[in-house]
Amino acid sequence: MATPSPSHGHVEEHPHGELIPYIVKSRPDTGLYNGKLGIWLFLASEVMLFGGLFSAYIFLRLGAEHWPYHDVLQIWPGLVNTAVLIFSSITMVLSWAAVKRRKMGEYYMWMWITIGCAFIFLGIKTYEYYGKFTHYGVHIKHASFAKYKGALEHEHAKVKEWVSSASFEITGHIHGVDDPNKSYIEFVTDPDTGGHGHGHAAHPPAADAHAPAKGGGGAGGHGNAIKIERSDILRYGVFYPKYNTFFAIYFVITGLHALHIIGGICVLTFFALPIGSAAIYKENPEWLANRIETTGLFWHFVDLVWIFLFPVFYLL
Amino acid sequence: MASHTHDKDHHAVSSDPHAPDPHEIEHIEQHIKLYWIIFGSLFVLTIITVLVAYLPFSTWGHIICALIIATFKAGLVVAVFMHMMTEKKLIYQVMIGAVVCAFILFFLTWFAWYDPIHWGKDPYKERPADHVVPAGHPTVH
Repeated sequence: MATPSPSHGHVEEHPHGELIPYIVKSRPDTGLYNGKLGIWLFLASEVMLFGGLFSAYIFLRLGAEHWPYHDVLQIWPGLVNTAVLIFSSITMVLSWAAVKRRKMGEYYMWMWITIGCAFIFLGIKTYEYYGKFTHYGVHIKHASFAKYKGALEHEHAKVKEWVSSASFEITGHIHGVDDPNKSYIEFVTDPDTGGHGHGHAAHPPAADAHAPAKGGGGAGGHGNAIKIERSDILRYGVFYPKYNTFFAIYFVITGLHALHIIGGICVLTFFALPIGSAAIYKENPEWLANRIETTGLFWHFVDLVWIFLFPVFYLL
Repeated sequence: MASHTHDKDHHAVSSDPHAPDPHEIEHIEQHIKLYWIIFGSLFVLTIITVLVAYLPFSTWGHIICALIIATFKAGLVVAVFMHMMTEKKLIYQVMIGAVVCAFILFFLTWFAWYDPIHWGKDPYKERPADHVVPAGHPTVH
């Protein structure tokens, strides 16, 4: 008692050869078990990572000639994904509560439901990305626009003027195959849903703006293909990040968020399998409870980022 | 005591050292009800966010409404799901620092007003409503 070795107290608290101190009990000075402080420090760095990207979003939007508001993303996949993530947040916290109450059957059930939600989220995200990667935009040169004006008006096409690049932008789908040997492209335009005000008037979002490409049938539009000469086109392409500023920041932030979902799936799957949970549960159920709590802290943070992402990209 | 071995310590505590504290179980079962209430609130607030987007507000009105609702939702998640409401002081200190730093990042955008290209004038004020050529805007190829 007179001269205890500095590490002695730790060893006594963790009698089964645990090398890391204070992963079950709280450290007296912080009042926290070490894993919890660790994950919160990580989340603090994540706040600044996503904060920097949202800052980039503000910067890009303020400097943009046009901002597409909400006429390029469908609302319903974002809305469903929000609901899915909120639900996965409660299933996550319920699996922690199940360990606390020593109900392992319930624990495994909630964990797998959480993982299922994560996959549903990624599935819907993939559907959205696929829709963008098959959706075209074409910039027609100012000088050549008169040739197509009549046909575009007949199709009720949505046309956006870009002064900086002296072009008119239309969006839609390539009819058939985009053959580079032909001197023209056949293009089915997106209909003008009337949802692209310039920020001063009411602009109800176009809920059914675009379905993903299916051979070029524009739902709700006339769906007739317009031939556009390649020599009249300034540039055209699918909605990759390089297409415009909006898609650049949209894909960076949602892509980074999706990577967090994938990381979360890895950790959740590890703990949802007996290899990740059975041994430490047997050792000390509170140890597993703490690990699930820290996993949950990360998972709730990923949900929290989406809570901001959804209105920022889909509604504003 | 220095003479205690690990095994002796372990067995001395009780017959089952890993049995849950009945008091704590009751506490957690009360919390589960709260979790479902928070889930319901978050769901309703999400629907409200979407409905508000259809109201005839100005762009700034939409931005402010959506961000207020989103911040409130985030607060519910942090306070209840992430147990922040019963958390230790150290966590608050860490997170307040991070959030303040991130918030400052948002205002770095204001430096764009002092961009030397626009020196001496406010580029955003001089824009005709929708047809603007921002100086230094990369020409789309």
